[in-house]
Amino acid sequence: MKGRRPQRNNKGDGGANKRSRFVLFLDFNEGGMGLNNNKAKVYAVKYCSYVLILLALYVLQTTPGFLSVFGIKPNLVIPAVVCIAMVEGEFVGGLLGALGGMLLDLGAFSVFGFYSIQLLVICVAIGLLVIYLMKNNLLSAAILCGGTALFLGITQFFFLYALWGYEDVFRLYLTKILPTGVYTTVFTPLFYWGSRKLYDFYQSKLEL
Amino acid sequence: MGDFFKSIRFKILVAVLAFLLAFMLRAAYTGGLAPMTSQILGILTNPLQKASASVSASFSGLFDRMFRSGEILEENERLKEENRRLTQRQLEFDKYKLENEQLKEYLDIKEKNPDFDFETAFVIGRDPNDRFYAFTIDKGSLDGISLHDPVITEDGLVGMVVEVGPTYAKVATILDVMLEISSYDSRTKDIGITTGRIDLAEEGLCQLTLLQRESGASAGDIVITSNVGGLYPKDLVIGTIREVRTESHGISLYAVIEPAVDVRTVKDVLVITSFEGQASAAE
Repeated sequence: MKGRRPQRNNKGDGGANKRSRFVLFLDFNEGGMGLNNNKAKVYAVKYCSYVLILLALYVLQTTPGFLSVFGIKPNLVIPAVVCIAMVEGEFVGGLLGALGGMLLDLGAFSVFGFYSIQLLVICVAIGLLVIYLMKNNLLSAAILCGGTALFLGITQFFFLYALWGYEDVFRLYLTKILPTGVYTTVFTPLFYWGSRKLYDFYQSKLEL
Repeated sequence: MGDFFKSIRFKILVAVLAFLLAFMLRAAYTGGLAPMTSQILGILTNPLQKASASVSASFSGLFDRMFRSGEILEENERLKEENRRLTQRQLEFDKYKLENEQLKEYLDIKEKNPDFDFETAFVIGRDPNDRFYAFTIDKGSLDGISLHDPVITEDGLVGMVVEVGPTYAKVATILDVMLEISSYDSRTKDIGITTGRIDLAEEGLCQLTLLQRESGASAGDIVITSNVGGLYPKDLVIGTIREVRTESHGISLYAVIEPAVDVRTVKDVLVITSFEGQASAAE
């Protein structure tokens, strides 16, 4: 077994109020409930910043013509949630994966839940993989981002097109779905670096 | 890892999964009606998408002029040729128009002007996961838009509303393989179904399928809607036939259509919220 296992500290500050308890309830990797108000604020800002980043990425990726190369556009939400799951672990990663998936469902023409359910499960698996099996480095991030993009592409291809028996359907996979997956993976280093920096920034605030 | 599956974190994640599954089932049951979570996210993101699309539109115009000069020259030549062809057609048209007016006068038939109700809309999003240039517009059910409303520009048909939220709607284009539009050749009156085709969609083309082998359809003919089924008004222009080919099974023909509207780059559209002969979404 490689990698790290997050240390869970269940010792809490006895004087924590209800608000900090609520925010820290979300922070299971750090042991959960019972820290002071200052740390509660840091956690709140941290999770809000993740949500805002995902919203901004969704808006950017659906902007007509943005980063479009020969009609292929990258799916920026995918590398973002994968890299966040790598640094934050299975729980926060899973929840943000579900949010990212809901955003993809909002823009996509599939039934609601198609991407959110898949990304929830995938991000939980990624969080656990990084804890127990894989090293948390750029190569792992690239493999996981590429794998996720291709897996989502394959499920989309199968359920939305192949299953319905359209003519020449493999052409769609080769000319559109596969290039979209590859183009999405290209952005992995940027998101891996960004999520590590963001995580380290908030960790340093928490350790103060 | 066993700890994780026994922990409260795992139970919360399973609860979220169950919640998403419930919404998925509801979405599948209600069809094009956006679920509550999508509606909330849509309301949050639509203003941002609108702003982002406006900025993108102004930049793309600038870059188009800078980088697409060769393409524009080629297009200019093509348009000149088309202009010559259209001028010739115009002469014929004027002749037929005069004849038609005389006939109408003679038969005392009033020309029918279909009562369309329009809603203008702006394209605010194009999803990277969609393969047939589908897009999201900035108007929804609060503006009177409903499921299956036809979407057009002044040049012709663009597609159909396939999902509606309060402030947004998703539009599938005529290049989509899932859309089937009853239509006919305006010259020969040969009927068929206009739909997308994967290999043609890459070039921004679609097809008129199920043409009989005896069909007289040929390049240059205009394909228009026929209102069979009540989803589209009669006589909306879809596009011009580029060529006629035999289907792989050899039983019928299909015509490759160059749409009147380039749906890959369209930015402003009109949604027809009501028209004569419209079928309700429930039908």
